[in-house]
Amino acid sequence: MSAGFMALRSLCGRELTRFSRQPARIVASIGTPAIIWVVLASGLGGSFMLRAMGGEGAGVNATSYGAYLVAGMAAMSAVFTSIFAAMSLIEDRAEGFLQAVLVSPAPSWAMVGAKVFSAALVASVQSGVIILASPLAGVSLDVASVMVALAGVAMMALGITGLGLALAWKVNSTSGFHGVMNLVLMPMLLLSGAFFPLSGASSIMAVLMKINPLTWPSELIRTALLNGAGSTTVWQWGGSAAFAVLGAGLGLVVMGRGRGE
Amino acid sequence: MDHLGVSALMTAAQQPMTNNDAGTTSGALAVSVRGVKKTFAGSRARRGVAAVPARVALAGVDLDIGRGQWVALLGPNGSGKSTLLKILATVARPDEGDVSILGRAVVKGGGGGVEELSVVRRELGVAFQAAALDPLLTVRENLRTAAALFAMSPSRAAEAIARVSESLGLNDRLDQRVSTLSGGLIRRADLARALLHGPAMLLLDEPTTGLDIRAREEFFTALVEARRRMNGGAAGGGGLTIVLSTHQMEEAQLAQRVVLMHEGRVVADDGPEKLRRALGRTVIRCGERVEAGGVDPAEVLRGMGLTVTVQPLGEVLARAGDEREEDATRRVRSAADRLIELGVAVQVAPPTLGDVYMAMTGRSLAGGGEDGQMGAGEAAKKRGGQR
Repeated sequence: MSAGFMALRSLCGRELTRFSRQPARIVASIGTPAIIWVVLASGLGGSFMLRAMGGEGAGVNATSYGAYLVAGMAAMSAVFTSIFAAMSLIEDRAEGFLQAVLVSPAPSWAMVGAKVFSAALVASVQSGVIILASPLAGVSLDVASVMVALAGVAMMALGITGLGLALAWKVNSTSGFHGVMNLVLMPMLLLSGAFFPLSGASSIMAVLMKINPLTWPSELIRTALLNGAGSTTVWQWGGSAAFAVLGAGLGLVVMGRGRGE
Repeated sequence: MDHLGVSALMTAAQQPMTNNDAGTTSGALAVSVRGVKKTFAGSRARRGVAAVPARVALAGVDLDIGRGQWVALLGPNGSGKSTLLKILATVARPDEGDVSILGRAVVKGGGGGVEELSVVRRELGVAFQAAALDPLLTVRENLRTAAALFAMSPSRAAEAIARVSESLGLNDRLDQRVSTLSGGLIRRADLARALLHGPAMLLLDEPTTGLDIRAREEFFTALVEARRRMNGGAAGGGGLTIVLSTHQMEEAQLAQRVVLMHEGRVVADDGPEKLRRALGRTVIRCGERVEAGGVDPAEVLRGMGLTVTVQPLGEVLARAGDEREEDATRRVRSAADRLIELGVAVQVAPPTLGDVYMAMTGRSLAGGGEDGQMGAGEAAKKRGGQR
C-alpha cells in the first residue's frame, strides 16, 4: 500500500473513532433531521397536495409531504454532517493535531480525503437510518433505490465537505465558519428541492433551484426513493458527481497551497 | 537557579558528544540557513480595532547546525525563534534567503526548493508549543496514526511504539485517552509522537510551555534518555540533531550550543559555558534603580569602571569586562560592597544566559521592559545603558 493510502486509511479511522466517541454528535445529527421531518410532515402535510410532479420531481401521484420530505431530510443530514466534518479542521488546528499532519510526509490529498470520505460515510449511515424509516411515511423501498439514494447522499457530502474544508482552512473561529456555512448552505439546501418541489416555485426561484449544485444530488435521492433507481437521469448522476469532484478538488487545492505544495 | 537539575542533565545531554561546545561531531550539516528574512503583514484599523503594523520576524538570519548537535534558540517572545523553527519544519516559508535541511535545499531565494518537501519531512520530528495529539484518542491510537503518516507498517509501528514508550516512561499510559493525562504526560506523549519514526533531526518549539518545574524536568530527563538511546543505535551520521526553541535559560543550558535571538537576528552563538564566561566569573544584578534616594546604582557602577547594562524597566547588570579573572572578580566584589554601603540591594552571582542576553541586547530574557515600538538600541541610549 502506498504511503498516501496508508495515511488516508489511518486518518479516516481516526475521524470515525472521534465520531463514535461523541455520542451527542451522533444523536444530534440523526435527531435533528428526524424531528424536523416529523414536525414538518405532520404540521404542513395537510396543506400540501403534491400532484404529478413531472421530470424534475418525484413524478408520483398524490405523494404525501412526509414521503416527499424523506429525500430532503437525507440531504439535510448530509449537509449537517459535512459542516461538522469541515469544522473539525478548525478543531484539529486549535487542538494541535493538524500540526502533526502538516509536518509529516503524508500528502495533502490524504488529509482532505480522510475528511471528505469519512464525512460521506457518516452522512450515508445517518441518512440510511432516515431512509430506512421512510416506509413509515408510505415510501416503498428496494435495495437498488436505497443504494442510489445513499450514493446521492455521499456525493453531496463529498462536495460540501470539500467546500467547507477550503473555507475552514482560511477561517480561525468555529463561530465564523458556522456563520458563513449557514449563510451559504441553508439557502442552497432550501433551494435544492429538499422542502418544496421545483415545479411549484416562482420563475425566479425555479432558475435559482436549477443552478443550485445541491439540486442534483437532492433530486437524485428523491427520484430513487420515490420512483425507483431506474428513474434517475444521467443529468442527476453527472451533476452530483461533478459537484462532488469540484467540491473535494477545491478543498484539496486550497489546503495543498496553504501547505506550500 | 538549577531548577531543572541542569548540572546532571547537562552531563547526560552532552554524551556521547564531544566537549567542543559549538563544534560539530561530523562534517555534514543538518541545517544551513542563509540570509533568511520573514515579515508578517499588518492589518488596517477597522471598527474600533487598532491597526497592526507589519512585523519583521526574521531580519536576515545565517545559521549552520552540524549533524548530531543539540542547539538551543534562546530569546524572548517575538525574537523570531519560533518563526525560524517553523521554516526548518517546512511549514512556513521565508520571504528571502536559502534554507537547506539535512543536505537538501528546501528554500531557494525565498521560493520553493529543489527537493520534495515530503522527502525532508520524513527525516524530521517536530513538537510544537501545543501537543499535536488528538485528545479523544488514546496515546496508542495517536501514535499509530502518527506512524501511518510516516508510512510505517503496522508491525514496525508496534515495535516503535513499544520502544519510545519504554524510553519515555509511557508504557502504562498507552491505552489512556490523551484528554485524561496530565500536562507533563501529554508533552511526553507528544515527544514520543515526534520520535516515533526515528527522525534525523528533532525540532522542539517551546515544548514545556505551561508545565511546572517538575514536569519540565521530567520532560528533559526523558528527552536526554531518548536521545542517548537513539544515538546508541545510530550507525554514523552523527546521531539525533536537536533544535530547541525556548525562552528558559535553564533549558537552553542543556544544549551544546546556544543561539541568542533578538528582534529577528542572531546576536550571539556559542556554547553556553563560553557565552556565560564572556561576562566573567561574577556579575552584579540590582533589582531596581534608586534615583529618588539620590543613588543611581548604574552611575556608581560606571564610576567604578564596570560595564553596565540597564534594562528598560530599570534592572541593572554590571560586569568587569575583559581582564584577568581574578582582577575582574575583585572589582565586581568591591563595587558590590560599595552599593551595599549605599543601601542598594545587590546580587553577586555567576552570569547566566539571561545575563548574557541582557548584556547583548539591553533587554530582559523574560520579555520584561518591552518598550512599545522602541528598539533595544534606542531604549538603551535613552536609559544611558550599554556603555
